[in-house]
Amino acid sequence: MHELTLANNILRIITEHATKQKEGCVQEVEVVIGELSGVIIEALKAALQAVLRDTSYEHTQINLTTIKALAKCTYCHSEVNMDTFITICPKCQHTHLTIIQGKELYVKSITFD
Amino acid sequence: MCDTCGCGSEHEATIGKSGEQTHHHPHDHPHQHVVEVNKNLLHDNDLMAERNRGYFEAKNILALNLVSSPGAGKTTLLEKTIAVLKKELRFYVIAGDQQTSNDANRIHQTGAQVMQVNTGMGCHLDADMVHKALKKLNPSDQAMVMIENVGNLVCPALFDLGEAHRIVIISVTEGEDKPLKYPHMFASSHICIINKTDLLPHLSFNMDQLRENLKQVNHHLEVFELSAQTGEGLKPWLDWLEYQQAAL
Repeated sequence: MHELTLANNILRIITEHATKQKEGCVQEVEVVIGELSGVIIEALKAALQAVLRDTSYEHTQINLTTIKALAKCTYCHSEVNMDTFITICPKCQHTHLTIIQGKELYVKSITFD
Repeated sequence: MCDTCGCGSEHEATIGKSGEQTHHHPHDHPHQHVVEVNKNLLHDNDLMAERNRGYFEAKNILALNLVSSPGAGKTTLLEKTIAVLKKELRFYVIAGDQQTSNDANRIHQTGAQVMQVNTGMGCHLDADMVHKALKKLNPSDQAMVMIENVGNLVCPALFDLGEAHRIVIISVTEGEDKPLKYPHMFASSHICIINKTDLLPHLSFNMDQLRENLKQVNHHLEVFELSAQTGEGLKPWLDWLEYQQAAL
């Protein structure tokens, strides 16, 4: 949800860092998106295209890396892949899982030429 | 071939899933350098939320963010809560809606100070809106600040406002599977209030199923079952509020 807001925020982060970097062009940006962040990747791609159009970063490569959702079972402490929020521990069948990975939403790095 | 610089590479440069394989492939080009950014996309909102949180802590204010679908009973719950507790506790309310000041007018009748935030096309309150409302409300120390978010079970889940606890309200007319349909909101909340229990005799509603669904989505949730309208079951919720404020 709010992929347009997120795309605008990505542009703001790029601009902020490009301004600090006195020389060089922004070649590549890596953005990390967790599977449980609520972001729809295709919507974010479309929003980025719209937001970057007619800016200095129109041709910058934006790499969207998804992070798989992982949870830890509070009973047997196994790490469990989560396909959805509702997951049962395959080892002990309990539903008390704590999410340990998958909610990430950040700009990881910017590559300058 | 790498789209960025034309070097040969086995890895694709665009969207990829992480796992064993890292997405980023190395470039042996001395003219390029990678700056580690690690900046949250909601950084600005989260920073303002932390400012709000610091403000609440400094003033020993208990701040709660009430979320629900439209019509679950947030305003009625606030009216009844304030009516009972206003002798002991000072309440300030920030009410969020797209349009009108209807909710603020209702809260105003209780004697509590209230600020209506109209979001227009916006579908949630954000930390900056709360910050601006707080400046106008200027709550006193040891007060309760109740933030009645825009009725929406999707978007408010993403936006930290600086609250101590997020309270999700669901009414028994909404169906037992609501937590499964909107897991992000229920997973991000601390308390769940099941409202309108006075209507249960008129519904074929499976309360055990709802409780089970809530546990599946978030086993940390503390649940209160009540009717804001009749006052049935209200006392444990009021006791919880008083306890939380005293514990600050």
